[in-house]
Amino acid sequence: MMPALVLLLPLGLGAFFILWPRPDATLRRGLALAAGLWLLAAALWLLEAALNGTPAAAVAGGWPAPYGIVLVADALAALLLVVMALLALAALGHAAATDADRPHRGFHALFQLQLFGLAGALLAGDLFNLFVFFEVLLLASYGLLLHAQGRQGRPCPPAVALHYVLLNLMGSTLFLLAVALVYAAAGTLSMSQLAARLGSLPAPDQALAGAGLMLLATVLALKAALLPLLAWLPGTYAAAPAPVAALFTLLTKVGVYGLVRLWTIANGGIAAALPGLPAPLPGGDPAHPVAGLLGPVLVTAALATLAAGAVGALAARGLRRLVAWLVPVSVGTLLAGIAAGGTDGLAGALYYLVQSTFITAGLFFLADLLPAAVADGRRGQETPPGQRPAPVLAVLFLLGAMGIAGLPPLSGFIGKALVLSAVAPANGPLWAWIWTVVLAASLALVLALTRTGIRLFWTPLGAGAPAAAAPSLPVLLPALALIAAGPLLTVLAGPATQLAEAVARQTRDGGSYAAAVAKLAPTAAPAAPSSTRRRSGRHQEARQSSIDCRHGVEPGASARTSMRDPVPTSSAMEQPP
Amino acid sequence: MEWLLAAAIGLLVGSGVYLLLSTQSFTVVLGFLLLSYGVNLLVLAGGRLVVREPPLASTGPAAADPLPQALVLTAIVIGLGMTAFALALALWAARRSGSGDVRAAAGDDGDDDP
Repeated sequence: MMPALVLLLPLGLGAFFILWPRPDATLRRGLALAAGLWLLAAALWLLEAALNGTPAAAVAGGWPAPYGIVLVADALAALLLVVMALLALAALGHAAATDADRPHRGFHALFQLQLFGLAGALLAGDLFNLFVFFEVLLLASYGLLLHAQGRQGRPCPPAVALHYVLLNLMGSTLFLLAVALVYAAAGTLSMSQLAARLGSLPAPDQALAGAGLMLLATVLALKAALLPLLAWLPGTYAAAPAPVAALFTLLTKVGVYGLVRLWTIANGGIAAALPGLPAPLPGGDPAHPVAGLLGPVLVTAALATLAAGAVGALAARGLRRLVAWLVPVSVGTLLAGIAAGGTDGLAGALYYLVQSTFITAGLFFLADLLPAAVADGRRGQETPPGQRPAPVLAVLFLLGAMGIAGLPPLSGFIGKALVLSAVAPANGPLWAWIWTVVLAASLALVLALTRTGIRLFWTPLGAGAPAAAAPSLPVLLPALALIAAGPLLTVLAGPATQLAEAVARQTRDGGSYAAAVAKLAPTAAPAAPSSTRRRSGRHQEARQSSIDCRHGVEPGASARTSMRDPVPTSSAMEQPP
Repeated sequence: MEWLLAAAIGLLVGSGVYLLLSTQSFTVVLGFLLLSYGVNLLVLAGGRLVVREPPLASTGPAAADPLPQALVLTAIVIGLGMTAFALALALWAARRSGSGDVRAAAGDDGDDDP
């Protein structure tokens, strides 16, 4: 029941905030922070359970497992839930300390609904509920982007909002299209059943399911901002207020999470432990032809995204936009590791995901603490008038920049080294490209961050220029905590990489995921009635056509109702009337 | 029956995509509306076309697949909400920028690089 509780709390709190007539900022903040802490505890509990080999699973809605709303908290989902809860706490802390939640009464309600959508997307056990939760989190993100104004009080430019919303509307429509295709071909949307069934479909259905899966990959690439679908990201993230932008850094990671799931499904990974099915991983034949196509496409798109992000970072004016460009760099590195590096690549990518998400969000907070003209880098105002920014901010920026660019002592270096060693020459022919692009992008990031740092903190104003007062501790704390993830993950690199490896192993072999879903099924055989749906569907069609014949309907007419499957047609024709 | 449905889906999706390519935000929203109608029909067709049968397995030998019907119901509700939101947003943006052009006022506060 724990996964359902993780969803119910933000949903209930969001509804409560909407219905609460008298806005009392202190109470709202207290409730939201308490809910965040509870969410963190629950996520840790789920992670612990998943790592012990028994992922928590629940089914909501009163229907048995393959039809109800299946929620599975395997190690990957639970790890991202922990990241989400920590990020939400920091974002709430920043919003409360800088009063970013005050101008708009709906901030806390939208924030909780955003958490609801995020958690639901991470826990959803089938593609349709993934679609629904994506809609929830997108709708909440539209609201947050449009209405919540940052400390600097700039509303979102209309064009940015329109582009973000319209692009994502199209993405959602395509998502539904892909879901329809996959269902038409495979007869199921449950992730564990899909993985089991994709490999054994007849050839025409293979093609249809493949088209659906690739369409799904396109939509998830839009959420993750892979290269051809990248242009919406920098403007949107730079326009969002800092707490919202921090949460948005996780939105792209949810797209990456969806791609990992899709990759696992296409490889038949989740179903490896189901009896009677071959285990195609690691490195063996892909279970579905799409797996052979998806890998190269993902690697190419990831490398292109990485390069584009590095160029964008070099061209960015102002800290806010520079940090926004760091997001595609991180996504590109992640996906290159995931698509080319096998289980080790996934482990390295997970380590890198945690640290890059925290540090990017921390840098968004940092940009919020600088004077608006500085953070935006408006022309002619590159230096703050008369004052140097507080030295403590410069130190934070240095730590964050080193962490995100991947300079040796800090966690970004460890993450990139893990990813690069996973795609070492032994593992495939792509390694040279990946090493070149990742390392060149790191160099570009070092250049871009150094230049921005010099312009922000080191501009020769003259020795007499006074330093601005340092922000108070509550204001500084969220940025400090997030950027401290860099040094912290370096000190704890051993346990952290072990954790990432355990999560990666469980994600790739998928046995416990399938077992957790199977436990939800009403009978011992996992979802027996539905796994024979296709065949029984054909029988039904055959039966139905014979009924129609008895009613005096021309047999061919109803036999044609099976749209593209020649088998029932012929069998229906053979049925005696 | 299938050709009718297939033609309807194709027409809706084709018109939707054509309208989506417009530069006027209201037209784009209309395109999204048509596209989502087409996709909803496709979801329904994903469960095979069964005529005059209830979506309940227990009532007789033949039954329509109930799952796509449940899915399409959810999708219609979501599509309605999204369309309403997109219309409100298009109105807001048109008021703010003074034109219904989706490219209008991209850098009205100097944030975007020229």
